[in-house]
Amino acid sequence: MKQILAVLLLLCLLPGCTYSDRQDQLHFYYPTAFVSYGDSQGVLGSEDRDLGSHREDMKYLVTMYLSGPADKSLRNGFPASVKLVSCEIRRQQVCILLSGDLDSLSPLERTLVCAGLAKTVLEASGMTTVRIATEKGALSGDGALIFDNDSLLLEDNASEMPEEE
Amino acid sequence: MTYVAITLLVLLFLNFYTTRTSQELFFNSKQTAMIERCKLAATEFSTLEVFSPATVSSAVEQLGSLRVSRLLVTDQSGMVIYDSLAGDSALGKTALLPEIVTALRGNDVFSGQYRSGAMHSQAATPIYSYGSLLGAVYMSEFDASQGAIVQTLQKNVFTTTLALEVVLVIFSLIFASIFSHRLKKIMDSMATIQKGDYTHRVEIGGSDELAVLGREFNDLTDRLRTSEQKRQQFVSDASHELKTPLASIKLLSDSILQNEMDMETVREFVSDIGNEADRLNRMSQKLLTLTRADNTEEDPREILDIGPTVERVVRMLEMIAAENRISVSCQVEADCPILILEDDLYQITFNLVENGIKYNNPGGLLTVKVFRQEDNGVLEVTDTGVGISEEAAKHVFERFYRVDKARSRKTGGSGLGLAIVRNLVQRNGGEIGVESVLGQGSTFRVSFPIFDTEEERQ
Repeated sequence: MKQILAVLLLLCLLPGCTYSDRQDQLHFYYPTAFVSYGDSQGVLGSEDRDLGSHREDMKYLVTMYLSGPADKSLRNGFPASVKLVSCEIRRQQVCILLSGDLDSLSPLERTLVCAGLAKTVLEASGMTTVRIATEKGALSGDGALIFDNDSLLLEDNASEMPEEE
Repeated sequence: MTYVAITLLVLLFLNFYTTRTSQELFFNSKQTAMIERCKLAATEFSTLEVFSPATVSSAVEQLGSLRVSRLLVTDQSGMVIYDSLAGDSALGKTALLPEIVTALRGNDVFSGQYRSGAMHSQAATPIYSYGSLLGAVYMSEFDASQGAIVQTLQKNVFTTTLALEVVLVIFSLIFASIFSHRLKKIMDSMATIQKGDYTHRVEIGGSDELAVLGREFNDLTDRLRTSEQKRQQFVSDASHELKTPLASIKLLSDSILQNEMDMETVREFVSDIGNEADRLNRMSQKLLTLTRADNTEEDPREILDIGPTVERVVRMLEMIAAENRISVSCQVEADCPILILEDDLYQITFNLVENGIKYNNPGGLLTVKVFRQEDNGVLEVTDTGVGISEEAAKHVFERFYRVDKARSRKTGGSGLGLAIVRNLVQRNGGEIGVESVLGQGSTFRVSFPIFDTEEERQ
């Protein structure tokens, strides 16, 4: 009887552990390896990562992000040479400075990879905007990309409406 | 139930297939139209000197109604520079819709989904100007009317499927009930037969397999009944016949034990006991032969000429004939090859010739003939004996039947010889008959189909 109760208690504790594990996990958004149509996933997919005690550390988060996804259905759009230079929070804006440049990517790919990083940081930090710049190239200086929670159109929900006359 | 499940699966598959096919047909027609419209718009935008929100907006006005739910135009990075949607416009946002991303990578794209009773279609195409990518055109369409058609079709097909399945289930239940009822009748009849009531018949109407099974079952029961009757008759006859010599042996031995007799009388009684024992032995042997003939699996028959075997048998029995002062004449007139077991032919000839000697008159004649008659080889045994009455001739081939029981007992007959002959003749595909005149003699005729080889025919 005691053994049965012990096992039951253990089973009850398990969901609690899982729940606390999930609370420490963050969504990391990356471009998908293959584009899919007609579902809500679109061009950005996500995988969960457990940052443990580094959950609040944006530098750690961005560094982890730049290491790329583990999920084979996602891809890391950033070239391997790109590293985090600095990551600061100023007036509700997370400013990310990356080394090198992203000029080897097309304008679309630049937008895509930065959108994934921005969405990840916005969700993790709770800030209102994210500014992503590089030391040189198209994203340097005023060319930096700024994203907020409304910047991205990932799904066309408006097509639920009937066609125009 | 399996049948119902299979038909249900098939109908569901047809249901699904019909719906999917109709959706695909609709989307195929949509694809061509929407890509054309996107390309039309892209061509218009590609001629703009300046690719900006204002110029694009102006160009869209010139295009007129494109009959789409939404039109988006982006620059090469995906930023929206035109959105036909007035409220909740995406102007200034980055549109990373899958179709726009594919178009910005240089490809025309179309996607469609059937969702919530409506057809949702999306198409996108890149905008090029002098070989350089300017951006992408995206159009989406929400078609409820065609969606309603598909939905109605789906509902109708489903309703039909359901109705068909219900009808199928009902018919299956009815059919199964009828089938099992008829089958139960047969099963019950089998149980009755098993208890020994061979007069029982199963009544199954119709012309299907069960009716055939019922008829076959009744035939089988008839054969069983006949076989059982014969068995009982045989057991009864056999036990009666065997009882007689046993009773004689018992009587004689009791007489010897209970009475004072001289040696001569004792010898006579013992001799009689020996004779009865011999008779018992012969009867047992003949019973065994008959049983073996009934039960043995058929050995392979061979093509055999009747003549030589008959001559051999006659030679062997000539001595016995001579002892009884019977003249034997053997006339083999022609080659008569037949398909038969040699042992069977020997037994048939032996029994007939032996009978012809036993039931002949002293000084009489026994004629054995072998000849061809049309396509048959014939063995004919004629005696000048006592003859058989017309009535007795009908039973003479039955087991244990004896025309003259007293004479049979005297000559050591068991009443099984002709029964054995008939059994062997029939087993080898032949026929046997008897013609007789009381007081003048009998003629036994056995015929088999001639079995000429190809060479002999030529």
